[in-house]
Amino acid sequence: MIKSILRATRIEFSFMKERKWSMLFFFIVPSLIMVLFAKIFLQPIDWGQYQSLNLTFYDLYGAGILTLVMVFVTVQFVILRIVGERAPYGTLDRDLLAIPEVPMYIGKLITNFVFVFLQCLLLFFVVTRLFPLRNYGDPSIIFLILMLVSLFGLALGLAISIFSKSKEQATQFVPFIVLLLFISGGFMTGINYPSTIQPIIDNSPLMLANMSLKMTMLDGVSFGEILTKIYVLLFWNIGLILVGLIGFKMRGKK
Amino acid sequence: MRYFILCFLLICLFFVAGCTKTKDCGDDVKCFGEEIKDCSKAKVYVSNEGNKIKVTSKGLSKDECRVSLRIEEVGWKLKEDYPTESFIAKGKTLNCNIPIKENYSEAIQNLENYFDESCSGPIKDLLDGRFGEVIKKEIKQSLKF
Repeated sequence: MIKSILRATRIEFSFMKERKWSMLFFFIVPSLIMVLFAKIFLQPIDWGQYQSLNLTFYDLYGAGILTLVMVFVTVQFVILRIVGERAPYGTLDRDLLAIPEVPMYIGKLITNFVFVFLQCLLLFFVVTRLFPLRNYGDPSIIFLILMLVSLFGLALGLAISIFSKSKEQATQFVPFIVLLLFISGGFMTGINYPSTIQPIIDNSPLMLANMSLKMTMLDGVSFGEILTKIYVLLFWNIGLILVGLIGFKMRGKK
Repeated sequence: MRYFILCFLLICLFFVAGCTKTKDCGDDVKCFGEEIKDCSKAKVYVSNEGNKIKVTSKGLSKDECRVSLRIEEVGWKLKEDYPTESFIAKGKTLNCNIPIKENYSEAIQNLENYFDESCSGPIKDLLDGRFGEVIKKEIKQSLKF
């Protein structure tokens, strides 16, 4: 099992190495978006209650933009990783002869997770040092949430890639899913959702991540206060990984 | 698949092991007063005229007693007098690291002495505004053990 995972990791790593410029672009794109966002929105809010805290628009919407950018970029990053390698033109069939589906999936996930970890490090540096967002909480919590959101994006991207029949279908899914996540992510303030869907909205992954980040950064709460949200987010990740694994096992050699 | 489940269980164990128990004193201020003497982990909810503050002692770290205050509710009177500030104060925290080695109970009751040097958080920023004196008074009242 371990050998197969290592083999799959190596294959995935070679794939990434071959596409170095595309990888470099993906690597810096979340940080670039945050820099752009900071340049435009680094102006004080002169209305309402936020005035008393001297917040800028960058501080207020920063948490939401961070989560949305990371999910969107990571989903986009892996969306074609499996469907793009399928027959008749892909290499997946050949690889699956030597490596079973589960290690193949884990190998892909680990390699991309390492890449995303480095991506998050750069983004973390940007939002804490280069263009610091207002943060009253523990900075390591921000990094942890970024990592969890990115893992969610990877698991979601891989799951879409597994269940899609063609590259076109996979790319068509992205805007639809991102829009759903955006609506349920709590980015639009002042909206009251219907009471029937409120519990779903409250437990949607982006809402959990967005609220955890906001509470940590703007309210200064400790890790214990957001622990339940972190657990639910973690279970979303594990659930999606399991769905992807089962789907891959079922569809792997078809 | 077995390795995956094993890894999942290990991660869960790691998370559970990281959470040591904080004594919940409910709204019993005396219970919290006892716990805070040696800076044990404890939390209490204190209410006054509809204002509700959660005070949490997070234990000792590097010879400092870590205490956190969170405004859970703002009463109608404050909401009427300071509508915008009251709205923003709800849910905000004040995190203090009290740099002494003993008599934490007394130190916490005089928390305002430590605001400038040892405290941080959005409430500290609110203290600079016109809502500041009200918050200071509320904190002082809520920390009488």
